[in-house]
Amino acid sequence: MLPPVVHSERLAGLAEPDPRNAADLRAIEARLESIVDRVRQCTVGILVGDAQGSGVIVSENGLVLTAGHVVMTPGRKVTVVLSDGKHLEARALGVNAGSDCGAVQIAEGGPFPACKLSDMKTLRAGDWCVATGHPGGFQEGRTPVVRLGRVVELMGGMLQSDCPLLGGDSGGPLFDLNGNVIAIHSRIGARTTLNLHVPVTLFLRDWDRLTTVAVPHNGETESPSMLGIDGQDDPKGARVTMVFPRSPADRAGLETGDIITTFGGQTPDGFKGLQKLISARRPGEVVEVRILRDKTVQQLRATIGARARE
Amino acid sequence: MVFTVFPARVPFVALQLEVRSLTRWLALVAVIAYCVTGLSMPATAGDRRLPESDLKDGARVHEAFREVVSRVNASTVAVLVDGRQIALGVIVSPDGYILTKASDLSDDVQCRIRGNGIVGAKIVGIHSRYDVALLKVDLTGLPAVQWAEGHDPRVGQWLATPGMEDLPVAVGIVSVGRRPIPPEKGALGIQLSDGAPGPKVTHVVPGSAAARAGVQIGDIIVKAGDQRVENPQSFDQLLHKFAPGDSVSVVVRRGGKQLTVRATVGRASGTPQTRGYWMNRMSGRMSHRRAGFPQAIQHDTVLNPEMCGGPVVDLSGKAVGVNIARAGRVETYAVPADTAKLLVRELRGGPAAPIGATAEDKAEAEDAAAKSPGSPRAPRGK
Repeated sequence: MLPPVVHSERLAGLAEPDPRNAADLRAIEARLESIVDRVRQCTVGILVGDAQGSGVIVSENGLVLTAGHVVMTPGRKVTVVLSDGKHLEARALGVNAGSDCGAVQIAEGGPFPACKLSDMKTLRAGDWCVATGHPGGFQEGRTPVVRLGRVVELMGGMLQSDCPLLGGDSGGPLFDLNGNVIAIHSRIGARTTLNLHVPVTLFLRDWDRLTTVAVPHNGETESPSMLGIDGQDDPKGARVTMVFPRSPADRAGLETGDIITTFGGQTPDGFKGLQKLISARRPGEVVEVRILRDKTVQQLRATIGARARE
Repeated sequence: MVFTVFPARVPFVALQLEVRSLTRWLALVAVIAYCVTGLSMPATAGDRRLPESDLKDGARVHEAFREVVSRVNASTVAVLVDGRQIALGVIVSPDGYILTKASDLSDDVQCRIRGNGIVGAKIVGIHSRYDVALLKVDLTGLPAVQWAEGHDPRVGQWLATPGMEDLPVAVGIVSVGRRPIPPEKGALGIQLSDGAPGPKVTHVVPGSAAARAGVQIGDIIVKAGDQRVENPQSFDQLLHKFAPGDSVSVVVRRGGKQLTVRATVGRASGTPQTRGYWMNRMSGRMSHRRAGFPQAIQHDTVLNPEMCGGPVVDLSGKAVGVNIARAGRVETYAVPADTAKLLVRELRGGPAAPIGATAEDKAEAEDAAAKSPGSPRAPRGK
């Protein structure tokens, strides 16, 4: 599915971002008032078990972007609460724990009010931004809470704003004054001006994996799935140079010196290739591993483990 | 040599909310970890970092509000108790009536008024549901505040909180339209198991109201207030009738004897074991009384508690309300202008006010009317 990206002009019709008088403030207010209904309609609450977060609808058929730490596990059932309080069944799609990106698909109803993503091409520090979400969790009778601030800094994987956020806001959207999504709320620091959001560019980089139910992963190279070995390339696959005690590999009976010739039926292209095959599996999955030990072929069964969270 | 100003590692709090921390907060005792993560910040590449002065609440943005607050700051006073500022206040009539926040007042009240220095004030009346007090100073010809007429400020509109200076104390926008703010739920800080002789205490949160009152693990709860406690659920329900700060006597059975302990009810969201508490706490001080208002407008202005009690104005410089509480990291509440005017009228009448449509009655009616709040609606299916 194509991501709903549009080119978004940073000043949104303002002469410049810095207000100098009441007229300049009025111009900012007029922009905000023109988008405020729409951005609230697109803002949702997300109930995941006993925990709550927020999110933003980005397609009419109910694709919701949120923070990775709100959904945690791809494929799990969640509930999406629309801004009018309607509760809908939904399902978590992909999660990137590294960049804190997540996505959810509403499973019933629609079409839904949807917001577009900014291409972020012209966004700069000092631009005005609008945060919505459900701080403290969704509350009956309270519309999504709107806050205004400025982009304080654009770092590689994070955008800082001075829109104050609170627990429950996680996954909610940060908009520019055109009402296009520029980032998703992620973390806060002690000061009310230290609020961190994941830029939508990180969602776009990961779009295919985020919008399908996939193995949880941790960016380009890291997946939580692990076997517990170190190794090196071998012409026949990958050679095991170390087996971590009590690891899934240890329990499966793998030993130092074994050459893994197939992993789940596939021949690994060196040790890197083996890592890729492991990453593509979900923790808990049982995989047939064929090895060459002392020139004899053996078949083992390994249960994929999960790397401990840092 | 230039050093990076931004620290390389800053503790951040992930924002997902354990809702149990609010509703069944005791369950959270086991989940004390509020997920503080160390996050490495990549060095800033190229793009500038916004200076402090340019933040939404920074000096340069405040400067743009100079003309907005140029009149209303003469109607704003500082309210002092024992010589220390505890709130702002708003002059509501030229003959010396001033509306302010009530809960932090004591007998010895003074006001600092532009052009008049510090003068003594007496408390004319207090309206506890809105936590406002009407003060009177012996001055005339004071500049009364101009109230905004007609509708409430819309969500997204700028709001400025004037102080005693030429520039506002802080600025923000309307976050949520007028609605009732439910009272905070009370809590004692114990976990109960259901059983034959009655609900038994299985856990006492350290530092909680129950711990301070001397409740112990193994105690059987017999009564709370003057009502018998049958099971943990009825205890919960009973306790929710008490507001934080209320005193409640609890009869417990311990080793065959019945004891009565007195506890001061705490906040359900108010112990360090809960994440919301911690997040709000680290974001600055809050008003002690900060919930249970019949009607309030929510805005995102970051205010110190002693800056509540004064007017809050829109870009026309007219007061759209009176700041009544700093309630959390993201929320400040204001009593809407029409309600504030009504409260002034009622409190000016003093104890002998005529019986009739008081602000309280109106609030009740509003409460009822607010049962179906005006949420933005999703468009219906085609």
